Amino acid sequence: MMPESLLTLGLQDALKDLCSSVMSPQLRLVYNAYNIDPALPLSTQTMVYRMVQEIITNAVKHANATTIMLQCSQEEGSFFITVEDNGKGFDTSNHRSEGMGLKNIRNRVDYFHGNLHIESSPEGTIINIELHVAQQS
Amino acid sequence: MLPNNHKISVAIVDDHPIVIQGFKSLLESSPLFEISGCFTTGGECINFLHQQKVDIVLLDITLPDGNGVHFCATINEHFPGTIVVALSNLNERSIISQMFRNGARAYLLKNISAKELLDALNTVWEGNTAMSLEVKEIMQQPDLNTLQAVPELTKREKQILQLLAEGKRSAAIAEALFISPLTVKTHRATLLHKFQVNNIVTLINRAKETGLI
Repeated sequence: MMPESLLTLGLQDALKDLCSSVMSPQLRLVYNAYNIDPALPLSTQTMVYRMVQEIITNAVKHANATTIMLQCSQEEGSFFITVEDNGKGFDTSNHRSEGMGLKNIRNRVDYFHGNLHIESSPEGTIINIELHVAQQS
Repeated sequence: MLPNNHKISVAIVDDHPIVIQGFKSLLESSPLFEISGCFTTGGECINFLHQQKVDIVLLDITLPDGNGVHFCATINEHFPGTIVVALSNLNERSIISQMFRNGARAYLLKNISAKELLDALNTVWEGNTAMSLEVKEIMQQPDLNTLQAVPELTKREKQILQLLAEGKRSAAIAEALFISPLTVKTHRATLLHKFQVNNIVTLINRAKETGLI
């Protein structure tokens, strides 16, 4: 299902809505977006949206985070996503235990020839993603 | 206190004549106020103010010939003796603060009671500011983006800020953190943006002031 705000307002506002929708008295979300090109292809925007959605869902459902910080920025053809949470973390060395969610994220990062960097400890998880979103002309 | 025979003169600006009528009869029922004029556009009101001094303008925001936020600034600039009271059904925080920034002395929503309106007019006449109850509640809600005195940084940004403060160049920072120079450049741009500064020296000073480094 495609979020309506992504179609009508674009990625930056759609992510804001996403953050507002998961926010609760027990969960604080900080969202920053810088320099996101509104002309990114809708398919790219959708992929980014899905990745962020997955990461935030993980932080809420599995890590029991109470604070999540999401930051998206773009510099020409590079798109950066950072998500930091204060949840209980997970074992990054054991790829076998990964759920479908993280596998999907890896696949999407590969699709964009990007990098995925995860740092996780019992104090929280930091996910840095860099995607190459330059349009092939 | 008021001089005995001086009534507070009030002008009403609203695009709906029926709303004007309501406020008019309400104010006329009070011995303290007199209505100097009623207007359905901001322009007409400004023209009128050039001819006659008015103590208080009740100003709507959605007007056919422009935005009350701008008319408020105009009145405040050209007629400093005139008090602007915003009276609208817009309850967005950004609009409310913009009105106050442009010199409004009160912001009231149109769902207020007659008593609240009269009290608010007395309050501004005595030199204070007034907000209707709901407006107060809106302004008291924490706003994540505008109330942050100190920007929240990601761990990576903190690392980069620290290295910048040590005088390191982008290339050296990239090497130290195992990331590409382009990524460092992006983080630098984001840091400048977050601190609302335009160069690295000011950025580092600001970060020191706020105790981040």
